[in-house]
Amino acid sequence: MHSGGAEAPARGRPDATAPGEGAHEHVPLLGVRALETGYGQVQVLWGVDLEVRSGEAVALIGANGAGKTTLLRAIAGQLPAWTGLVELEGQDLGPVPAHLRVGHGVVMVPEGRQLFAGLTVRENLLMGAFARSDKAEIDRDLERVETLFPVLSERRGQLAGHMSGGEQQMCAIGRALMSRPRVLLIDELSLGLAPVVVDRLIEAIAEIRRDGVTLLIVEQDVTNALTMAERGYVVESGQITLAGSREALLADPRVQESFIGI
Amino acid sequence: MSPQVLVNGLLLGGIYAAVGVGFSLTWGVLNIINIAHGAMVMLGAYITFLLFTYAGIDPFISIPASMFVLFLLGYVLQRFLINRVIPHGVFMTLVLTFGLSLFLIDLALLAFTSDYRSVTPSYAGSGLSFAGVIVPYQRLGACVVAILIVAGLNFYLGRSKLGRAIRATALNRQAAQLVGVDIAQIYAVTFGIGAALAGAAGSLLAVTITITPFMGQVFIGKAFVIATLGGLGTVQGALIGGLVLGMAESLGAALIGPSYQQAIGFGILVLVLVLRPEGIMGKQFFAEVK
Repeated sequence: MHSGGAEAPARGRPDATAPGEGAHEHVPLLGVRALETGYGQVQVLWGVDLEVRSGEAVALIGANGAGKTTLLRAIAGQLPAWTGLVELEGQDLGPVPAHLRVGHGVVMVPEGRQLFAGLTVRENLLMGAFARSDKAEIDRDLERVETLFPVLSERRGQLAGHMSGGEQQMCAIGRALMSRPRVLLIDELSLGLAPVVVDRLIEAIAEIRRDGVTLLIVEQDVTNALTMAERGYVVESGQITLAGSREALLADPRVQESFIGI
Repeated sequence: MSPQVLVNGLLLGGIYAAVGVGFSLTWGVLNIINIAHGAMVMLGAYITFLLFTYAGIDPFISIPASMFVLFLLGYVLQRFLINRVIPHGVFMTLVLTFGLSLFLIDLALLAFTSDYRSVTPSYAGSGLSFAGVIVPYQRLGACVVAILIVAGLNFYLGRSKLGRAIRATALNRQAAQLVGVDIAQIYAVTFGIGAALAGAAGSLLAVTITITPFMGQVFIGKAFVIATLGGLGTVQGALIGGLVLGMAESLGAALIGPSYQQAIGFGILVLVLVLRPEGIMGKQFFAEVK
């Protein structure tokens, strides 16, 4: 096993900064600027600003219906931005349709897993590599994913729809890793899963980080969220109302009151 | 009952499978009930007729030509016409393909008139004969080629990257988009493949039945039965559905009377829908109502 996260990435531990204080010397890997979007006539996001720098793991915290999923979907291109920008290394992703954002390294694990239930586990993983054609590298990544989640190797011929919720979540993360994400968006990692499975997933997320993947995680459970991420944003009614480091957020009375229980 | 009846049923069933498989694919994967499938079968038959009559090309050799032409037609129709209507639901696409069907049939009437045509290669009328059973070469060839095409499609969908993407898109459009599949492109390709299969079926029918602009219409009802019997969107299902329908029609005609042919087909459909609504070979998770 690895010897713990403390000495991990050589790229250096980014210091937590509030949004808006802005890019110092580096352009962030993922940037969201004054983003507004919604469904049909219904506006959900009202001017969201957010930054994720390379190597970071950032959590989005907020109640149901706050707009977290909408924000991820807008980043992944499944919803067009009404106004504002989604940027990858400063490049506007607006004109890039959803199916091509995968090739740019913006990959999402959607809420509810959304596996191809009638395909086998192995076929699901291979679908993750749909946009790639580097055969040898795909094989290597497949091996890497099956080392991370051995159950996916044991069940490779089984239909994905026949697996348990936890195994499905592993398959969904594995499929996303097969797309070679630069920034991985995970929507509701732990929803509906047993605590022991959630612990296993959190360990896996730590390993994925060590492989150099940048993470933006939506997670209902704030303690879990801030175990995985060193920085977070609180989303309320389609706006970012609070941002800060893990320690700052955990110590904030508003976070304690709203999300950790009174 | 004579073994001839069984052989006839089998030969008919093979061609039915070819007619039904494209219809089933389009319905199962795209949720489009392509009423123009019969008209596309008719166009395939005319392509074979034209190539045979004016260029002397053997009807079996002309199959790739009609598949190619129909693929292009299907691809263009889906990409530029049907894709625009899909957001408005399955009923609107049904109405659109119904209109396309009328359009293609009238176009064929203008181009070819309503005269009866036939394709008669040198081996027409001869056949194998053993133990009192006659197997006409044309029908045998059509059945064998039909089954080869269905098996080829099954292999392609099961093993190729594009085939996997087609199945994945059938299961979950949103997830397919998330892994980088261009949904509009997959839809156009799948509709093109369905149309190409209709074209192949038309070429095969050209050597066994009379060619007219209306020849495809009877096969829409049959394709419906075949696809639903076997299980929507599954290739093996279309093969089983085709064979069951062919056999049932042949047996029914011999035992009850030829005028009950249609009633037998739809009677079986009703039975299957009541007893096993997912179809004989229906696969879990596919073609579920969402």
